Parts: sequence; C-alpha cells; structure tokens
Amino acid sequence: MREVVVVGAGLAGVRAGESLRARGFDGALTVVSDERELPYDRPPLTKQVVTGDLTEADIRLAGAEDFGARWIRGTAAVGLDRERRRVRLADGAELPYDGLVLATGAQARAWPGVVPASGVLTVRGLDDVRRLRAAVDGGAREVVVVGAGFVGVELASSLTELGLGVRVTLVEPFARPLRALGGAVSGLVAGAARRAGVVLRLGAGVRGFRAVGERVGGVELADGEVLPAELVVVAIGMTPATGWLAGAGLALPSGRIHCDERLFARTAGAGGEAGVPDPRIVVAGDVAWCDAVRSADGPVPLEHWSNAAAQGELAAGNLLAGPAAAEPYGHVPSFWTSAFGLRIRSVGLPGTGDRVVVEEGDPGAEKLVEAHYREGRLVGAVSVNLGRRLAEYARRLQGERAGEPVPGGSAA
Amino acid sequence: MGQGRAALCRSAVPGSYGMSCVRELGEVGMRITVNHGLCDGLGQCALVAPEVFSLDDDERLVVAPDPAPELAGRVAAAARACPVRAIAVEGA
Ligand SMILES: Cc1cc2nc3c(=O)[nH]c(=O)nc-3n(C[C@H](O)[C@H](O)[C@H](O)COP(=O)(O)OP(=O)(O)OC[C@H]3O[C@@H](n4cnc5c(N)ncnc54)[C@H](O)[C@@H]3O)c2cc1C
Ligand code: SF4
Repeated sequence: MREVVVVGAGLAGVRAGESLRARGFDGALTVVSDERELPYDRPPLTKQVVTGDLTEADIRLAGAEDFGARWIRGTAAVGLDRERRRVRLADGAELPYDGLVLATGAQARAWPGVVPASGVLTVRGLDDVRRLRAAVDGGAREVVVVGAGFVGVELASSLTELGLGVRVTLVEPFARPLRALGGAVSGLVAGAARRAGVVLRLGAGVRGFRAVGERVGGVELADGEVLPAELVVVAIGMTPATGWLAGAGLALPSGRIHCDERLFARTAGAGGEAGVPDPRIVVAGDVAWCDAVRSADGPVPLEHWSNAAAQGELAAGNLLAGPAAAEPYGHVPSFWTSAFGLRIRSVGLPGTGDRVVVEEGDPGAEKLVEAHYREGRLVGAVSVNLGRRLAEYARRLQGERAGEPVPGGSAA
Repeated sequence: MGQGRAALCRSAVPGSYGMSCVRELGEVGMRITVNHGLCDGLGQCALVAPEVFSLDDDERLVVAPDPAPELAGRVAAAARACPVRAIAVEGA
C-alpha cells in the first residue's frame, strides 16, 4: 500500500492517521477536511468552550501535526470513484488511493422547515460555538434550546452557568430529557435543570419560528403558544456526512456507511442489501454503521468520542493488514456527558434494554449506578456521579460478548 | 478540564497528595505520569486498564502503586483513551 487518503479530520480521521504511522506505514498520506480549522476536539464545545473555561487553543487535537501527512483543509470531498480508486475534491482535483479511510462524521441536523435569517443556530463545530458566544456577548438573554439530547442539555447547563443572566428554556417533544439513557437519569436531569433556573417544556413540539425583521423573535409551539426568543439553538440530532458518497456504490443505511465487523465498507448489494466489503476502504467514527456494534435488533450507530478514537485506530490497522488478517472491532461502547452538576457516564448500549435496575446508590442523593438488561442479560450501565464501578460493568459486557454464540441471539 | 475539582494523587508515599503522580514500570522502562490537574475523572482509562487506573467514590482517579510490567501495552492504550490526555507514558 503506497497511498492512503483519509477523508475527514475529526477525532476518527486523526487517530487513523496517527495509527497508520505508528504501525509503520511510510507511504504517502493525505488528509482532507472541509473545515479550515486545525483538528479539534468536540466534547468541550458545549461545555468548557461555552463557559470560557477552555480556549480554542486548549481543544486542539494533540498529535495531528506530527504524522507527516499532506493536509488539504477547507476543501470537501465531493465524489468517490471506487473503480478508478479516486476521491474527487470540490476544487476538481482527484486524489488516487490504494487505501481509503472514510471518517466524515456528521453535521448537526438542520431544522426541517423555514428559519429566520439570523438568530437560529445549530452546534457541531467551533464556528457554531463562536456564533453562539457572539450572540450572547452581544446581549441575547432570552435563549430557547430545541431538543433535550446531550447537546441541548449541555448547552442549557453551560449557558446558565455563564452567570450573565441568560434565561434558558429547553423544549423537548418527548417527555424526558436525555431519554436515550433511560432509567432515573431523565428525572435527575430535569430536576437539576429546574433548580438551575432552566424552564423545561417537556412534551412540547415546535411548530416553527417567529421572526422580527430578519431576526428570530420567538418559538411557536405545537399548541400555538409562542415563547419569546432572542436566540434559538436547534439541537435535534445529527445527519451523517455522506451526501458526497451517493452513487459510489456503498451501502448507506439511514445515511451512515455500513461496515463489516472489521470496519471495511460494505458495497451496495442487489436489492438494497449490504453486499461484500471493499477491501481498500475502511470506515470510522460517527459516520459508521458497524456490524460489530449491535443490539439484539441489529447494528446500532454510535455518536461517542471513545468509539471514534477506537475505530480510527483499528480502521488504520486493518486497512494495512488487509481483510484476511484484520481484527474484529471489540470495543465496549462508552460515553460521558455532564450538565447541571451531574456527571453521567455509560457503558454498553443502555438504550437497548427492557429492564433497568438501580444497583448502587440512590436517585435521591443524585448518585447511582443503573444496570440495563435485555431478556435478563446485561446490555449496558449508566452512572450518575458514581463512575467507580462502571469498569466492572464494561468487563462484564466484554465477557457477555465473548461468550456470545450468535450475534443477536437471545441467551438468558 | 477539571477546574473546581480537587486534584488527588495517592502517590507511592502513603498520605502524600499532589497534582501529578508518576509510576515506573521498571523492567520495561515505562514511566506513567498522570496530571491530576487535567484529569476530569471520566474513567475512560479505567475501562481499558482497570488494574492500573480506577476511580474512587468521588470519581477521582487512583493510580495503582506498582503496576505490573506486562500491563505496559494496556497502559499505553489507556493513555490514548483519555479524552483530555491527562496520562503521559514515556518509554513504551
Ligand atoms: C457538541 C458536541 C459535544 C459532544 N460531547 C461528547 C461527550 O461529552 N462525550 C462523548 O462521548 N462524545 C461527545 N460528542 C461526540 C464526539 O465528539 C463524536 O463522536 C466525535 O467527534 C466523532 O468524531 P468523528 O471523527 O467521527 O466525526 P467528526 O468529529 O464530525 O469529524 C468529521 C470531520 O470530517 C469533515 N467532513 C465532513 N464531510 C466532509 C467531506 N465531504 N470532505 C471533507 N471533510 C469532511 C467534518 O467537517 C469534520 O471535520 C460530542 C459531539 C458534539 C458535536
Ligand atoms: S480517562 Fe483521563 S480524565 Fe478520565 S479518569 Fe482517566 S486520566 Fe482522568
């Protein structure tokens, strides 16, 4: 393998580049990113970067400059020709490859309707947070956050922490914030958010936005009520960045790139099924839909830092090793978030269980560990301010997997 | 990260605490340095190398006093798994 191209310079792409060199790849390495920024870490964006506890320089991804790559920044990949093994760029240039790492991550999902020209943001990157801070520093005090997933909840927390008198309303069409984590977590988050002064509108759908001239002036709920707003943050999930792969012949279930257990991209087979893997293309990070990460219902997409890091590393190794010598992805999912003084961690896939048991601590004291079971079998665990035992659960989950005869089987 | 959280290091000397702590894996010449000022108690390291890294009841990181040399590979992996790069390894 002489030429490797990495598309996407987020965590997954950078770890893949580092790992290629660490494993002795000394050929030509090109990293393509549509962002102009030097690679940076996303988790602090909604936390310490909003509050000002970390600067932009603090969140640069260490190591990105060290692995002897040719960097192409501010230019998107717009097409892939697998037959000729070339990546086409927005400026018309073509990059030939022997090996290709697809790590384009995701974008924030845009509001699916009309939005006023200014005052409505999404948050995925550094630029978004700069705009958010500029709006607040420019005097916006009435902020509505739409969507109480982890991005929305973290932002609500950071904005209230600023101490600038920002009034935050968090609107969520489902009844529970952070509902993906299940169990008692939603209730704890809701309580802590209210105590911090956040107005929660749970079970409230958003119909659209009101504008005052060019700017947003309010958020209209499904029942017709209008919440005043000087700034709106839409945090309704993410859209995988795979638009540029349409027509490349890869399997793209729900927009993600389907990859096999060894992270090789699966081609689009006949009849819409995922077909054989392409031995020259590996996938890593938020953009991946990996056969190795699954619940009893099938593959589960992950949007976790640790997954992007681990897949980036393994994808690079497997690309060099080739499919026959490649290793399966065996990482136990793990995730953390923190908001309103609650430090929340998870291992496994808690959202996929059918029963939740508080195994340690006490929701009343805002300290607990909950285990999630499916048909009697451990599928995940979540802690709030009590992460000490999660490593044990991770080990148990690893064991469950090792002993698993058939993926998706229902051993008790 | 880690602002506002007490940094703790149970160093090799019982009862002594500091901002960073150092462990040597003598036979393999590996040195682990944990910067407790950076560490945010995320526990990602403990998922990878639980024999060496663990959290206490207050989610502060505890580093085993005398890690076994054969754990060097996993210690290096734990350092890579730390989201804030609070763990440095030299001589791996
Ligand atoms: C605000 C925020 C907070 C988060 N907090 C946490 C947390 O607390 N804990 C946790 O576990 N996880 C958290 N995450 C998730 C974690 O950051 C992601 O899982 C991780 O960033 C995924 O890395 P990635 O490299 O796969 O994708 P990305 O980081 O999205 O990187 C992909 C890169 O590819 C670029 N790109 C896209 N399309 C193209 C193209 N066509 N051509 C060239 N380049 C392209 C993108 O611009 C981007 O730079 C958070 C994410 C966000 C957004
Ligand atoms: S992973 Fe890093 S931040 Fe987390 S406990 Fe370990 S050293 Fe601290």
